[in-house]
Amino acid sequence: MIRNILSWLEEAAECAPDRTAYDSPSGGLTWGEVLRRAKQIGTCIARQVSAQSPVLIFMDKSPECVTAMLGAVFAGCFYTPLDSTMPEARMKRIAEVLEPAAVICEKKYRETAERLAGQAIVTALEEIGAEAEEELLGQRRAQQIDADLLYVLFTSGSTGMPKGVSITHRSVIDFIEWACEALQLPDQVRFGSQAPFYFDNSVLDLYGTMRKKGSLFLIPKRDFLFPRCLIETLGEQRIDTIFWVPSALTAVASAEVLETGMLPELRRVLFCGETMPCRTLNRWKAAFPEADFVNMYGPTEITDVCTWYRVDREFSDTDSLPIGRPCGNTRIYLIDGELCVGGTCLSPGYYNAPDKTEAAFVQNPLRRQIPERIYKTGDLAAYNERGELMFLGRRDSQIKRSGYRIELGEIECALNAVENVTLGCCWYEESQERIMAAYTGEASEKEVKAALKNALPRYMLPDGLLKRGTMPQTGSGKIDRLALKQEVANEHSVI
Amino acid sequence: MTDWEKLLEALAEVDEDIDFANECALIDDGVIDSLTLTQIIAAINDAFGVRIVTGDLEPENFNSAQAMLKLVYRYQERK
Repeated sequence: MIRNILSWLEEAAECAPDRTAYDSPSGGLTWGEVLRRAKQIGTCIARQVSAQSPVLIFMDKSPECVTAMLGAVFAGCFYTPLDSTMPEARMKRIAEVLEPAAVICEKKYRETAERLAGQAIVTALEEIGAEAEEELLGQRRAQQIDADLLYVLFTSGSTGMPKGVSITHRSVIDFIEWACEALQLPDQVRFGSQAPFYFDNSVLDLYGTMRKKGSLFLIPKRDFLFPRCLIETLGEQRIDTIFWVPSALTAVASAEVLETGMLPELRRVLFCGETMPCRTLNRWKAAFPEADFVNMYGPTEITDVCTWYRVDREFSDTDSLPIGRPCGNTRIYLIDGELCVGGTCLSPGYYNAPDKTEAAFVQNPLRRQIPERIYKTGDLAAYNERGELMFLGRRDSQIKRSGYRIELGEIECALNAVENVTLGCCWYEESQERIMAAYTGEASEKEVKAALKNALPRYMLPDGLLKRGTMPQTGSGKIDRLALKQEVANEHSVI
Repeated sequence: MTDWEKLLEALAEVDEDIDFANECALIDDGVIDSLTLTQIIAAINDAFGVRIVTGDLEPENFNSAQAMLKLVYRYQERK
């Protein structure tokens, strides 16, 4: 039994040193190169900070970015990849929670990185030399246990402060070993990566590839804008496995570029991150009748995925797809309809946020005799007549867009922080999949729009923004959200 | 109003911080993300009464406002 994901890397580098590991249109690295470079970066980090320190990675998605993440692990530390396109204000809030001890960045991001770093030392990856100190890395490795953190990924938080989900080596090892077997990933699997590294769907891409000594092609973002380019890339790169958000699959399906018999190499179409429309599934199935289609479900807090369903029957376009049954070594509880998770997959908690941790990771009410934590997902689920889990929706005001978790509260916080906004409110217009926002105050819609853009990632920006004279209130003085929604709907139906 | 002005006005509605009049590598330089592209297509469809769908699109059609206008004309001819 291994206790550090680096054991997989070392094995891959030993068995297949010259085989491509991570590549992109602008080049790739072999397993041997990934190992060598990660050790050099690890040496640099280990000389700066002690073991188990947070390392912030501020780079575009690239093979080099993977070496920086693994470098942090060689130093006995854990990594947080940052979305290099998000507004600096949000990066700042993440850095405030994480308090990184070291920052590894691309040269071009150095200035921004310096502003975020606080006390941390900023190092540009390009400036890290070719020296690896085996003795130092060996010491770090000898002290490591599998309950040490591997990464912290940030998701939207309802109070406006992003939440850092911490995950241990043990959870990732447990998940990847299960996934490789259950999903029948072949040796030398060829993954086509869609998920950004700051999004936890990338965990299967990165480590499934490593475990099976395969390779991961980092598909350029631009291909996802143009389905025809995307199909071409999958063919040229001989991709056999994809693990994407349903939005990406839907974009391809609705562009009507899928044809039966294309991409003969594609054998596994895996998806997770949001509800998969059966209409999309059916179009893909028609084009790839021989491929495996697997619907997966899981929040970041339980290490990527906690339930899975391999499509084994026909569905009509309007059916709901099951999320299936628990992954290996994972237990699912339905408590008052809420899906709760127990097992090795559980995060130890939100980084630097004991209150938030306590609210979501609770004592298992069915096992009061011993301390045992389960994670309350906030998702509602039920079993269908076949005993498969069905996803029913959210308990709270969290929504999903292109797989991203968005707390409406975080948008509301940003809205209320805008100068000359008195009171702001956000809601989700489900039928049109639109985020709506309304506010009172002196600020013009244009000013508010501009301010939100500087505070929130693009995928969080409201689709509709309305200035109101007054806000309807409930008896207790809160915003009457239902009444507001109704008011706006009525006005628009008149137009 | 000329078609060019009409297009720029529609694009400004989508994102007024992008210099649509002068940028010529909107896609290649990653200025436009998927959300913006969807909004641009919707805005163009509204402004010119065409029905551009994503399937037959090439990146080259969206690198500049000039290219977008050419695309609009091609769609209008098809009608």
